[in-house]
Amino acid sequence: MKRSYIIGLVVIAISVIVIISAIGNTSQYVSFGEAMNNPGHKYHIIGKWDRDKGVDYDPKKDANSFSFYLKDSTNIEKKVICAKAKPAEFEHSEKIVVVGEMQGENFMASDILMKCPSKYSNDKSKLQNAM
Amino acid sequence: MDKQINYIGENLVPGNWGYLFVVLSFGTAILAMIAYGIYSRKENDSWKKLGRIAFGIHGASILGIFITLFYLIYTHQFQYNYVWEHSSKDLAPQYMIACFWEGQEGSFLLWTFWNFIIGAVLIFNAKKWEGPVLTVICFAQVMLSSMLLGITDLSIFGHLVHLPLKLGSNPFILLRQAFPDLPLFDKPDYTAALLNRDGRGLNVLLQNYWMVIHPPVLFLGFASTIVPFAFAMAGIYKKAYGDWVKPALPWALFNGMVLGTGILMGGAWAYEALSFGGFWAWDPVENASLVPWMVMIAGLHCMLIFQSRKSALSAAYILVTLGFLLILYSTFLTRSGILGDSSVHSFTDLGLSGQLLIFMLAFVALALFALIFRWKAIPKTTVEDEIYSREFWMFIGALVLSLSALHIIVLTSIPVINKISGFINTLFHTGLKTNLSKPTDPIATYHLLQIPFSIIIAFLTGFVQYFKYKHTSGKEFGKKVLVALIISLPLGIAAAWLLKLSDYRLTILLVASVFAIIGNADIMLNFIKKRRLPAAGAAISHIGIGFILLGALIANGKKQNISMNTEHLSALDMMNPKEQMENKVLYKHFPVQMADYRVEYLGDSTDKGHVYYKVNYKKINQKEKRVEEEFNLYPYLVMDKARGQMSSTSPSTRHYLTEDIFTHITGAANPNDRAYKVVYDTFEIKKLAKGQTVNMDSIHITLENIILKNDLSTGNRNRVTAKLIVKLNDDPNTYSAEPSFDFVGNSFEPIGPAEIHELGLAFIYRGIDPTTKISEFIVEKGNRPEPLFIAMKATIFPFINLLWLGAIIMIIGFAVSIFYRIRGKASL
Repeated sequence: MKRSYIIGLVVIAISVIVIISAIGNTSQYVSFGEAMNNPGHKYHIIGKWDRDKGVDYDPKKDANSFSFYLKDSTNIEKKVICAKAKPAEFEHSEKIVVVGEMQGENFMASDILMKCPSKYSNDKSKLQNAM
Repeated sequence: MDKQINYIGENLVPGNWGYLFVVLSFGTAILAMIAYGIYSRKENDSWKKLGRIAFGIHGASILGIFITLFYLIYTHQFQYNYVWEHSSKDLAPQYMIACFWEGQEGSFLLWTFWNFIIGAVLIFNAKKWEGPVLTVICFAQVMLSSMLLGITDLSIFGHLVHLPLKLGSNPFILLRQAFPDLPLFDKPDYTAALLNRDGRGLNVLLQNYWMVIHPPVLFLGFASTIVPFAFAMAGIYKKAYGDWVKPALPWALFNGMVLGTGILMGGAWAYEALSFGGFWAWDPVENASLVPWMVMIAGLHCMLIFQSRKSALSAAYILVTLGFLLILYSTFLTRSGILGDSSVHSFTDLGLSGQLLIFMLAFVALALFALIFRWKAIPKTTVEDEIYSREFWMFIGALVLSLSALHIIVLTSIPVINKISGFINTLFHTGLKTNLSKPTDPIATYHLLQIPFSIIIAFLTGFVQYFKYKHTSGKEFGKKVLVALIISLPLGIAAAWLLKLSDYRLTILLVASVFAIIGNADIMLNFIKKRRLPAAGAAISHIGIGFILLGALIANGKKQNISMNTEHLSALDMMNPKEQMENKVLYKHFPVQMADYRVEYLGDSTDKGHVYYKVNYKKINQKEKRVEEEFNLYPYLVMDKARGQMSSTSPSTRHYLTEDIFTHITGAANPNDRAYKVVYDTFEIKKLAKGQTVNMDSIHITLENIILKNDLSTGNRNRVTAKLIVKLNDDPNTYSAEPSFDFVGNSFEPIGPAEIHELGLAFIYRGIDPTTKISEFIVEKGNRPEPLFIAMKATIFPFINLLWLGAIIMIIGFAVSIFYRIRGKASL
């Protein structure tokens, strides 16, 4: 067999491995319901911070964790305990993605991603306020 | 509702001119494309002339847009939407330029500008390639300048054909057109009200010199990617399949240099000014420019193989085409809003995703059409490359680089996979709709394959150049490589041992990088010995790559968090014990030991909405009890005026040759909170002579000194300042306050109280008895407030300078190669 064919086959084989490895390592966006049914599995959950219940962060006691209530798209609300310092942008966030797993009644998040309204999105209300 | 208001004072002339330039730049791009297209076919000089004239007017219009927009920003014409959105009155001139690329319209403008410059250079030196190459570039210009048209609800033939497509976003629309139903715009003279207002300004996090220099460089990198692609298409069109490689080579090198520089600058910016604590986070935005670069570099190597050995041409075609299409794909990814939740960057969705998709698909169609219909005609070698040849291993390197890029782009495209599967589901009701998110540990996922790929690439760069093209005797090659290997293996292992590198993968990568540096340094020295330095460009840039890998792996693999919190163990230990303990609380004036440093939070100051925290680092020699090293860092928080909350943070870093100390605020007391305020409720009058001490309960106040200062500016005004030392029974610290008063003529004028905030004490200096020399103070007493604090994260990045050094070496290497190729002395 010609060497170029062998190389071609190897490249295809590695490409398949690369793609499988990439897709195989992805996680999933789920609701709290599904996360509760699969405790111990790490998931991504998108939701909104329940502003009325506030956010509990007291760096003097523990600078490395904070907690708040998150309502997911199916309207289930759970307490999220996040093992990080509260990000400065937290209060500005519109949508929050937490990464972690259910432990009992709480969602233990190892990471948090925030979707802040960019400078541009709610221009209108800002403009109204500014004028 | 139609408003029939005759507005006054809107200054519409520049906006109209600006929009005229927008339309003109679009029209002339089409004209130039058609003229050059015909010229490519007919070789008729009058078409060439028309193409050049149209392209020239096109360029002038782009400059016109730039100048008009800059004029509007410079003169603060906030009735224009773009000006209001992206600038404000207090902006320094360099940031007024940066306003351009904060908005999408401006960054498209920048891209068209660079494309024009590139096209103009090509008109001068592309010779017989001018026709087809400029046709391709003008095609891109048509697409890009349409991004500024700002046509909504496209209607053709008077509502016969009605497309709901939005075509571009016009940077010259007025505020009242952007927000038509605001009551403000019911007044004909609303601009008068705007005069006293300010624009929204440039995002504070972007007000940094990187914002001024990084986008132009990155966009020049984006823009120049089109040149090798345009040449490849021209080669197909002219049926001169391999001839395009030689004139395109300097451009491919230029693209590698500039895009590479842009990517690394992005890393430097993130490291210096952003809060994610590192130079690379595998964020989609970073990947989106890295992947095309890797593919273009792979393409560059195939072009070099073809130039020397007349093989690998079809691979060169595929890779330069893919590289350019990936640039368009990246643009689509980062600007259509599709990345949504998967990136830390905020994206504007101007509603142009449809148009961006068309932009990309048009070029995909062009490339596919050209490649598929002429694929058979592209010459392919029938002879197999020898294993003992440079071209064989260069080709393998190009393949590895492409596979590595494949891995990154698949992971970056997860949101796209979801979109496509959802789209297929709505069409065919497959019931299969993916809901994938990025990996729970993205860094580990990337490293899993990227570290092995980097190891292979580093080894390849180390030994490939010991091969000659065509054939090298195994013996000769083996001897040279063995020497390089014998030097680098112990060196690498010793370095790994000294650094206490525990990860075996990183140890192998370290050896491989050292091998790449040593091997290429050897090659470079050989060229220098033969007085052929210009030919050493490749070796030099590969040394740079070696250093970049070395710096990245050491800084990242051995970064040390020195603010580990060991006192307050939280309930979450089992989850993520390492990550979560990285923040430590520092109370004002209570130093904490972190690794070799005594770190103390000294205070804060506010400037333009930025709160700077002064953090003092002292390295104390324990034996001799002296301070060896001392510096202050000023990480800051940005306060959101409207809400009085912290909105974003920026780190501060101390740079040393061998390590950086990175400090980042993760939380702070809000001084506006009641708990941190003092309410003074009682006072006492105390009389003191110099050196005397009085007691108030457990507080001891000493008048240490009195200083008299003549204020020359006001003539007969003298200022007297007392230095008071305060000690407490139950506190080892010593506090001080310096109240003062002025005396003008014979009267005393006390100056506001001098506070010792943390004790809830304030002193007013009432005066001094001229005969007894006894001073009189009012001592105000209040509650002792809660101590101010910050929560911070401190990380040491060792040897990160190797990375920046590597970046500079790589750029120099590219520059040398460009020079070499332009002089045309690159012999076989």
